[in-house]
Amino acid sequence: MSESPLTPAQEGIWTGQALDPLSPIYNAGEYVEIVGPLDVERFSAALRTVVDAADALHARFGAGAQVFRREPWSLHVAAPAGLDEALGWMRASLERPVDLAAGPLFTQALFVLGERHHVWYQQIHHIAADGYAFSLLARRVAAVYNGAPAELAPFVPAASTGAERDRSFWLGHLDGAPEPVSLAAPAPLGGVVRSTAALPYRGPDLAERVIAATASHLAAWTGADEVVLGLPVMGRLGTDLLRVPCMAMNIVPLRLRVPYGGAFDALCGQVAGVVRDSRPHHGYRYEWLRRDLRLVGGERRLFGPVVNLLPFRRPLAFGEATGTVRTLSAGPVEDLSVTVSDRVVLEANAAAYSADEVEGHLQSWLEHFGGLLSGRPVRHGSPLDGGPLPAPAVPVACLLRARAAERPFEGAVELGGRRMTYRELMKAAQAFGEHAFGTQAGRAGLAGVMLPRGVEAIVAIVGCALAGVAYLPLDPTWPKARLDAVLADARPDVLVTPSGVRRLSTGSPSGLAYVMYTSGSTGRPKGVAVGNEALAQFVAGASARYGITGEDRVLQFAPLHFDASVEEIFLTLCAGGCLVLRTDDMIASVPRLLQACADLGITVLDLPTAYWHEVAHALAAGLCSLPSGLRTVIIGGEAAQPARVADWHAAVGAGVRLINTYGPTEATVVATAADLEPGDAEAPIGRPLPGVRLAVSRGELVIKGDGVARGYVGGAGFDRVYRTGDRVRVRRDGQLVHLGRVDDQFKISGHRVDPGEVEAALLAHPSVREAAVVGRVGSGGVRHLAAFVVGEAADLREHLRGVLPAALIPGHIAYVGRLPRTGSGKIDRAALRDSLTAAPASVGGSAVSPAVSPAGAPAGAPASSLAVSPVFAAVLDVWREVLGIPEISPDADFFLLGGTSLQTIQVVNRLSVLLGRQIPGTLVFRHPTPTTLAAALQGDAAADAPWERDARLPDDVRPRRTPHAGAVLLTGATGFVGRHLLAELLAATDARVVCPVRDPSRLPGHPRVLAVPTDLTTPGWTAGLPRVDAVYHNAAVVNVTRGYASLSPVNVGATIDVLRLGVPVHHVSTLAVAPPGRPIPEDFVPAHDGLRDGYQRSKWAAEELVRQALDRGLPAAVYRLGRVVGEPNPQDLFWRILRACEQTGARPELDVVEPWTPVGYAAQAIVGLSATGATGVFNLAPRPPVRLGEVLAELLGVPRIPLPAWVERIRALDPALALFFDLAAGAPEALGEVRCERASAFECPPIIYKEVLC
Amino acid sequence: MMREYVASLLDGTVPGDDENLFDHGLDSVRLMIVAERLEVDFADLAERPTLRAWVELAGE
Repeated sequence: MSESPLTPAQEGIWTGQALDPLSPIYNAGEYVEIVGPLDVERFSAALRTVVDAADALHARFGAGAQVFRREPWSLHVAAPAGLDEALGWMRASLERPVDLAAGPLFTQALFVLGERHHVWYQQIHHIAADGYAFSLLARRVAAVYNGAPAELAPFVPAASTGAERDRSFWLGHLDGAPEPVSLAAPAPLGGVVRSTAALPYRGPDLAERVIAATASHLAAWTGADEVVLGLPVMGRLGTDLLRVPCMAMNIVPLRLRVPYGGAFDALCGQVAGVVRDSRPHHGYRYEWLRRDLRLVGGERRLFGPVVNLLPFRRPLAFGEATGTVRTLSAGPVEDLSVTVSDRVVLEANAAAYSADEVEGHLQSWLEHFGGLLSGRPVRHGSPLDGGPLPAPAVPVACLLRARAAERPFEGAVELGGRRMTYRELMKAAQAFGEHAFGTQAGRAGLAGVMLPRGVEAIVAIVGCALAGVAYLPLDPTWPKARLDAVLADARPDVLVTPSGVRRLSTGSPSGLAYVMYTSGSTGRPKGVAVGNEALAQFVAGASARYGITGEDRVLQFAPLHFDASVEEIFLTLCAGGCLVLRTDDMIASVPRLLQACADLGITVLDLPTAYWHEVAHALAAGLCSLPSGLRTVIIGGEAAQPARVADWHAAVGAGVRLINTYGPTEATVVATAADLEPGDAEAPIGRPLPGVRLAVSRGELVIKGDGVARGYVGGAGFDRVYRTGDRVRVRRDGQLVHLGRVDDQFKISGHRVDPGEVEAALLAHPSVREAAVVGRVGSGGVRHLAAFVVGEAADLREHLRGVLPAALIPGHIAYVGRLPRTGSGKIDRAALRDSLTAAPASVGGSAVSPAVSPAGAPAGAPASSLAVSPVFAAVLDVWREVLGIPEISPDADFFLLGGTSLQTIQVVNRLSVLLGRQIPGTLVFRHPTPTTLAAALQGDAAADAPWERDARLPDDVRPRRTPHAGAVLLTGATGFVGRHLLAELLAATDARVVCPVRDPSRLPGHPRVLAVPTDLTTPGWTAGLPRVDAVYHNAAVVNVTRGYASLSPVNVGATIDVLRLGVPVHHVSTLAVAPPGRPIPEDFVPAHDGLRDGYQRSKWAAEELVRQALDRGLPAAVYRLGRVVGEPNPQDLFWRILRACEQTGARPELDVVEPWTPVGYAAQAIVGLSATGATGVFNLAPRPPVRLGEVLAELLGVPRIPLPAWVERIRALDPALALFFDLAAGAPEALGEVRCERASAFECPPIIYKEVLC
Repeated sequence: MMREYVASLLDGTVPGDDENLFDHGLDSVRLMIVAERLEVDFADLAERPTLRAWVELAGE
């Protein structure tokens, strides 16, 4: 049998499948519903004729070659009860992975639903057929059925590497293109999630319009100026391939400029042009282009969303019967795919998008498309778009002059008793300008203004504005060194001090409005130069948003060298309001400030958020109240603590407008603002101001447009784009939420930790005035949080335990007098982090040596541990061998070194052999450098405990679609809880219950009970089980003296086995997995110190595995039980204590409180909740916890003796029980309050001790 | 009529009855438009891209 090469289209698919051989995502399938009389024999013969003539369907693949082997195949014929059952069969078939070396590549089935109702199912691996091939095959089967010849052409595969002229076209097309954006970060291939809607448009230009609308929508939602969309093309038109069923389709990248505010028609024209110009080159495969552009592996994309235009599949005639085609699966979706035929379907990679998100994106796409069709400009109308300014921006100098002309005698500036009218202000400002800059404007570019807060300072600032000279505010209290540094950097032409104006140099107008210094991350102050146009835009946008009018009296609060002062000064004076300057004594206390505001009739208060926190606190404490005239409070400068927002609303209500603002100095004071409403648990930063445009790039907020500052003094210009370094997310309501700094993300035990959350918890303590939390990687890669607190709080750890999960409790809490601040008043977290490395600190008892995290080493693993690690050495060896490169640096990227997808498979195979375990092919794609790959292969830092290491779900566990079986699996059916679960399942459902048990005689002989004799620790015990629809995984060894290792085969290993079945899992767990001493949420918990005995550890590991399965899309629910009571249970610890008390005539002093769960309630709740399909965690302990000492007292009329004495008494009677008490070091820490919200729908009877125990 | 309609969609020149329409600028998008207009299967039009064949298909 002769070998043929793979076609270029086939190579890409072969490699994709080889990377994950067990994945079924390349199975494509559709069915034809045939209504009318169908001659099944004739159909079968027609199908056979066509399939046998389709060469590609009979291929078998090896690396780089295929052979054609015509093996016998049969049409599966069945008569299911209805279409649903047939669909179940089809979906299960799609889930079965295909072995490309052994075949078969296709499955054919005919379901007879009735004499005049048949369903023909056709499934073919994508390597042998694309959408066109399916259509061709279907039409041919109908044609042959109707008596026509098959007319299929032979499949003659030829290798190819692409034409140079096509390659250079595409390289030119994409030259200089920015990284393609999409609506989510890249993720490995998962399943497909989809949402469907009616098409809002039909017309001959549908193709261009849909592509253009997708480009505009994408650009609007990401803020990108250029996008690259993928356009699938048939690759067959005008060739013989039109008659060859095979895989031929390609995807071409369409790079489109999407100018903000452009016309939709123009964008459509651009699309048409790009498609037309690129058409001759549509045969150049995208896999080649990826390789050419070094875009393989890691998270690199060639294009973002794909726009798939499908021709409508007309019904097929089978004699007199009519067949309608329906697609079930068209293959994998890497990111997003907008598929348009007679409707629009948005399909997405389930690993990157949730079903909710896909629905939301489709809705916003439809809305966007609709807007474009009605004439809305391109990119307008997304949450990232501040919209147009209400009126064109006017330079502040003009606005000031206009106000002065309108209201010359109204108050402009007030301080103490002194009041300056607008006319007086203008006169004074003019005089200042002449004096400072000479009678000719243009003899100065920048004026340093070093004046204390006062009327003179305002006059100077206004004077600069009128003269067209930028002002540089300097704080008179700065240390000389800083002052000198700033002056040396900014080099103002004029310096204004209380002693007068000093001319330093001459300059010329630069169009700047002001220069303000912030502290850079290197510590050197940076001067932000803001242009007149940016200031004008800010004034126009912010005035509109805040609603500041000429009637307002605004308190000038901020120091003049903070840009909040720009907001206060210019918004007020440009609106014609009155700027009231504060005095130092006003901020001596919050009540003083509010009293002063009342006295001064302040209507708008602009406060730094840190100060406002104090105000909210004071208001909530009833120390003072807001003046009645105050109508608006504007805050900004750092994240608003939701606790303080709640305080504020509780005290103030919604009568006073509270505006939360966000904006770096580099974006001209404020970029986004939100009206904070009561009941909103987050404190969003809201929406961009009019005129402001945002972009979100990999979660980082970018500010664009005319509001961006010119640049840094002496540095490169920003060019109207500024990356903020802040992470944000867009809420469903369109408001933005600040998530923290890009550099602040931290992970502990795989759980993402936000230091902000910990800070909020610290601040919730009444004695804590300020708090900052930073993440640190200590010696041995141990990650912990370090907190710095201002305030005296002795019980701080206890307070935190009541509020935070254990993983978030800082290992290190330092009490400091003050927190270091940056020049702009923000907490200097970098300095705090550095202070930890400067000297060894003690962390809860253990010393932490300075952490060295050299660039390139993965966080969590000091470089030294990798350098000698055998895994790392193995990785380097294999790479050298496979790539043929003698020297490989630890951080070199596999694909940038020239590695191909095929070579990753070689790497994976060799590493699997070396390490003695199967390594998933996709690992190299996700971790493409030796350092990251070695770290991923080794798992997390060696500090992980065995139960954490075991709690890693193998790659082959994934949800599977199986046909309805009418049966469920129940493990542990003969145990205490298991017996009740079995009874409930039999009573409340129709399902058969499959029970794997060691001793089938212990099961009731019920017709629906199927006993399977087996042991859960036997490898492969699930293989012989009949198919089930769901698993009730109740089996566990509940032994409190055995160690983790002896319990893990059943408690952990069997859990993985049942998860691997791929059907919904209902997992019975225990409240004992939760950390003691704090409320137990109905949610998964990260590993913690309270996992002391083997049982707790193994049950925690089992829950963690279920959590990971849930993450992968496997429906799963966890039901946590307390101590299960309901009948005498000789295995139960407490029952044994009771019996021992009875037999020895004494009871111990037992100061233990624990939650109990009646067994009948447990069974009903588990079965009942499982029927709702709800996933997640349920705590089944709705009754108040039980004091064990009380129970003993109530039930036993025996005297009480101290615990140690009692243990000695029972030792001979029950040595194991005595041993338990020996091992337990003192009374266990009590579990906290059990949050039982979700499970409380089920009635739980009161617990009567006598009834449940005797 | 078919001739004029098709010519209007392509590069303007009126193709001969048996000329390959792909040589006159036919592409998948235009094919889809024609398929919808004539209510004929896209792939049928693609496999026999001549005016003569299309008239036949449309007549069916």
